Formats: sequence, C-alpha cells, structure tokens
Amino acid sequence: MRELTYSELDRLQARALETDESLQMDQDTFSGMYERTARPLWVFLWRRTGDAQLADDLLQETYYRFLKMPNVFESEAHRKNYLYRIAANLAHDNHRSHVPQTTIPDEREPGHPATEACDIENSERRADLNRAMALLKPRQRDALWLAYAEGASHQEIAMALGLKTTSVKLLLFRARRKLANLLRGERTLS
Amino acid sequence: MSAMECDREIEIVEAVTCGRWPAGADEELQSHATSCPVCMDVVEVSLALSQDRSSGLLSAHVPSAGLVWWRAEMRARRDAVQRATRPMRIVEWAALACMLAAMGALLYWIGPSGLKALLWQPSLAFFAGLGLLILLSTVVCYFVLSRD
Repeated sequence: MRELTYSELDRLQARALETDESLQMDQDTFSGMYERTARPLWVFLWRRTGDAQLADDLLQETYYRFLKMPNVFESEAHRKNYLYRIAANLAHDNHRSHVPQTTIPDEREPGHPATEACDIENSERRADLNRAMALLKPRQRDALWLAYAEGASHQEIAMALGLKTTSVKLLLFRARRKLANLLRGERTLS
Repeated sequence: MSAMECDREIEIVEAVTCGRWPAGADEELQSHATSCPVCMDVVEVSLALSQDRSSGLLSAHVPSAGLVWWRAEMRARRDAVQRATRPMRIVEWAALACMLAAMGALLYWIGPSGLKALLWQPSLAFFAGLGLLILLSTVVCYFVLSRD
C-alpha cells in the first residue's frame, strides 16, 4: 500500500513538474520586463505600505501572480497596468487584513529607502508629504501616485485600479485638491 | 476647461515627471500654472510625488530578476504538486473520518454495559476486531499526517 501510494505521488509530481503550465513567459522576457518595472513598482508598494520588508514580499507576490496569468496582454503598457493592478489589490488586501501602517518611517531611521541619499530640505519635504499622504484614503493615494508620480493617463489608472474613467477623474480631482491643500498647510506651518 | 480638470494638465505633469519643471518648461505654460487653480494643484502635487518617486528609485533595493523568477518557479511547482495531489489527500482524510466514525459507531453499539461484559468475559473475536481497527486507524493516520 505504501509503495503504491508513493509511486502514485511521484508520478503526479513528475507530471506537475513537466507541465510548466504556470509561467506565461520565458526567463529572458521576464528579466527584461522586470528590469523596466521592478523599481518603480517597489517604490509604489513601499509608499503604499510604509514597510520595506512588506514591499519586498508584495513585489514577489505581484510578479508571481502576473506570471501565472494567461498571456493576453496587447502591449507593454497593458502589462504594466496589470502589474499595478495586482500590486494595488495586494496592498489593499494587506491593508484590510493587518493593522494599517500609513506612516512612512523617518528617513533617519533604518527601513527608509532614502536614508543615505537625502539632504535636510528633501527630508523635510518628504516628511510633509508623508504626513499629508497619511490623511488620504488608500484609493486616493494610489490614484495620485499613478497619475503624478508615474505619469499614467486616466484610462491607465482606471485599468490599474479597476475603476471607470469617469470615476478616476472625480477621484483624482478630490484627492489632488486635498493633498495640495495639505501640502500648502504643512509649508505654512513650517 | 471645467472646474475639475484643465486641458494643460497633461503638459504640466509631463514636464514635472521628465524633470523639466520649472526650468525647461515653456514660459507661457508656467504663467498659466500660476493663474489656473487646477494647474496650481497639479504642480504642487506632481512636484511632491515625482521628487518622492525619484529619491525612492535611487535607493530602492529590489531583488534580482533571476531570484524573483526562481522563487516564482519554485512556487508554481509547489502549487502544481499540491493541485495534483489534492484528490489523494481528500481520499486520505475521508478514510480517516470513516475510521473514526466506525470506531464511534462500534463503541455506541456495544454500549457501556456491553463493554463491561466484554471486559469481564473477553472474547477473542472482539479483541481481534478491535486490534484490526486500531491497526487500520494507525496506518490511515500515518498516511494523512506524514503528508501534511
């Protein structure tokens, strides 16, 4: 009985390993795409979660899910939007299932990616931005980041966040207004 | 132009994200940005976010493509094995559940008085059956738990 079970298991495992059903592209294509997208995506995840370690984990998970998807992408931009969609959903799920961490660590502390490369002015500006971003809703943060850091169009943001283009316009307008006012307020205070 | 958006917003975002703001941007566009309330907000927000992105990019440490690929491949294989062996695991757990149900049913059928009587007057058939049941349960438990 034992022998039969293990041989059956080996057969199933071999079949599972043979069928590289899973990954939708070859390693070279993936490497090229990864080099172009990984760093901005990591910064997006880090900005979204406020945790460098978590951003690493979510980055890995994002690419895994991306590679498992059927290859139906029309263009590089289409691929990129899907990557951001997966990443935003993962960050959103993480935000719901864990204690939300909206504050980015101080730049002088370990864990902040810009610890070594910043001056005082940059540091203060980023601290203002962190405080202001923490007051926005996750969807607002995502939309603003995609629009004004990544330079994505309304259609691309809609695709990445799973929203209608008209909703994106309104979402961006409100979020932008709020963030701009908060930033001006922070500057006035400082 | 509506109150929510401005036609020149895209030009401003492009100039900021390409590092051409304010130096390098069209003077007419700059003067528009100081008078249009939408573009004033756009400049404020896009400058802050694109600077944040640039400094984040400079110091972001991402794992190599090879490492991410290797992990994804390992995970895909593990998932495939799990999917392929799922029916076997279901059968094993079902066998374990049946075994426990059979033991429970046997004990219920014998009852406390019957059990007492069997202990006082041991029957070979009873103990042989019980032994077989325990042996089978152990084997099923071994297969179920060793896999998990």
